Amino acid sequence: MSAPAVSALMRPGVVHRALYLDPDLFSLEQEKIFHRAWIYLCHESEIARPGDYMLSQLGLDEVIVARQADGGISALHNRCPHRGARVVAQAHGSARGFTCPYHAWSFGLGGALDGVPLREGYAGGAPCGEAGTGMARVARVASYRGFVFGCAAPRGPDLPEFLGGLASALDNMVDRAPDGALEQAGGRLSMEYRGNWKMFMENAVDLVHPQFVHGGSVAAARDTRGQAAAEGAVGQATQMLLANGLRLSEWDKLGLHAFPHGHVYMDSFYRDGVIASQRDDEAFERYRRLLARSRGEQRAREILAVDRFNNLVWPTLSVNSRFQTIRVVQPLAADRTVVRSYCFRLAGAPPEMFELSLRFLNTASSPASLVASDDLEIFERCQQGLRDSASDWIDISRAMGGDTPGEAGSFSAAGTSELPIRNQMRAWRAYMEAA
Amino acid sequence: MNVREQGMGGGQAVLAPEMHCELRDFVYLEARLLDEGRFEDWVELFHEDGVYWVPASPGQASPETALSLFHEARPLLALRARRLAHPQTHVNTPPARTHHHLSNIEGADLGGGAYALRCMLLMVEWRNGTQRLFSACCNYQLRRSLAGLRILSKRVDLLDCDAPQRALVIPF
Repeated sequence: MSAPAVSALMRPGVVHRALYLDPDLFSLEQEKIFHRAWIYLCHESEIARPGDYMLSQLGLDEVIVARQADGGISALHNRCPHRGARVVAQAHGSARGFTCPYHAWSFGLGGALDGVPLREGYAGGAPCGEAGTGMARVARVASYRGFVFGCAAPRGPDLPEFLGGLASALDNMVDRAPDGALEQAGGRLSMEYRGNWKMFMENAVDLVHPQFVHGGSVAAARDTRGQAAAEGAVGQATQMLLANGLRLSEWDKLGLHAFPHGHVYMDSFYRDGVIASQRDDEAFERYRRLLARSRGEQRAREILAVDRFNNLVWPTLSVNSRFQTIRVVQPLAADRTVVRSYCFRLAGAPPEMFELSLRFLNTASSPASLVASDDLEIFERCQQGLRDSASDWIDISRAMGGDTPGEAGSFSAAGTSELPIRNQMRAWRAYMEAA
Repeated sequence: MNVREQGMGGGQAVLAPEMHCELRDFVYLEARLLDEGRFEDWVELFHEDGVYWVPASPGQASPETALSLFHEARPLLALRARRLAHPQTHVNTPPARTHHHLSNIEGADLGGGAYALRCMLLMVEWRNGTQRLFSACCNYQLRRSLAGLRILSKRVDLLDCDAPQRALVIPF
């Protein structure tokens, strides 16, 4: 599809349904977006020691992310350059290098071709062309404060420039650790839906939907609101469910903040109990004191005052610094998406802070979640409805023209604006039209 | 903890045949309540301190140190049951239909009115035009109370617990 064809899919306030349905457009997105943007691969704590490796995804491609002997990080396409076999099948492990199970070609942690059986069979002693250079490397790999990203394009903005105004979300999560480090822990949760990947990123900052989509869990939590005072998981989950029941006028008071490259964050809406940013319980006070001891009272206050909810690094990463969690969007097809969620331990913090993080994801990000399962259902309803022939256009015009310009190309709007979706679509168009 | 660790190999009393029948009938009843959509009645089968747990990784040691698909004490199960009955619960509109098939039932008498039960579960789900099949191993800790047997804990280990799942609506 050509650039003019792409631009014909957008008009002011509306976008064409092909963005969600068309398999050819999905393939073009892989080339133009997922192979040009910085894509989150893993956290450094998952591959802490030399030789540690794990599998991740860069768009549709599976990559092996490995810690080198010198502490650097490589990302290799999981494909043998000989006959194309998938080299590594274990999701994670530790090794000196990788050996293809088919003809035993072996590679160093950085992908260099180490050994080839029957080397004398090759003219000059080495396979010709690309195969001789080893496994294909992801063009650029960089870590921002422990969060590892890959970029398939050799040129373009570097990682800090790409993160722009949303680097602050990753900063804030690290800053919340009294000892200044994060550890990914507790496994992960994986949700799947039969819908386009863009829907998840749009919905994460759509503040009109919660009271309607989550009405069932809000009502059930109101029936049992006394449970909100309970200790542990019961109290926290009930508090989280009740919070989705704000009125539209209250959602509107939250700020939405949009940045270049499609990034956006929203203010938090949690006000009560252990989920509030200004908690006053014993466990939190213990944590606050540890943070103040390492950072000073003033700095600790500033770190804890950052009260945002979803921070989206478009196209694939959603960060919640206050609960030390991330969600990673993995597109599988135009109508099929997986979302994986991870939580982090704050080094030097009391164990209660990690429990808060675990319970947050159990409640909000499991496929069985009383919240997320209704979102998954709505994504599938959208995908089904968009196949209807009655119209090609979907509306993203709410509060258009009401944005307030800020620093560094950013814009802000009231909570019920569709600014974040329009901002993501602007980024989509810029990627897709780029040469 | 499974029955073999907890019961059969551990020197506990061999389960009397009539007790085996009672345990079997108890989990058959539980399966029927779920298949008939009687979720609030299902929650009643749990002891007031009862917990329902579906790990998100194979052999998961604890729900306190790692993420779970479900980890709910009875008050949250009751909230879940009420939500399933609410008309705005879009994911259960129209209601999903399930068949819970149980087999390989093994029980152990732990003494003092406590029992362990292990069984295999095949749950077939029909929802929104799609049929799904879930296979799991279930481990129960049961206790006899004045009202009859009650579930202290139910752990459901799905064969594909670490795979991406579409929305999970009806408990296993």
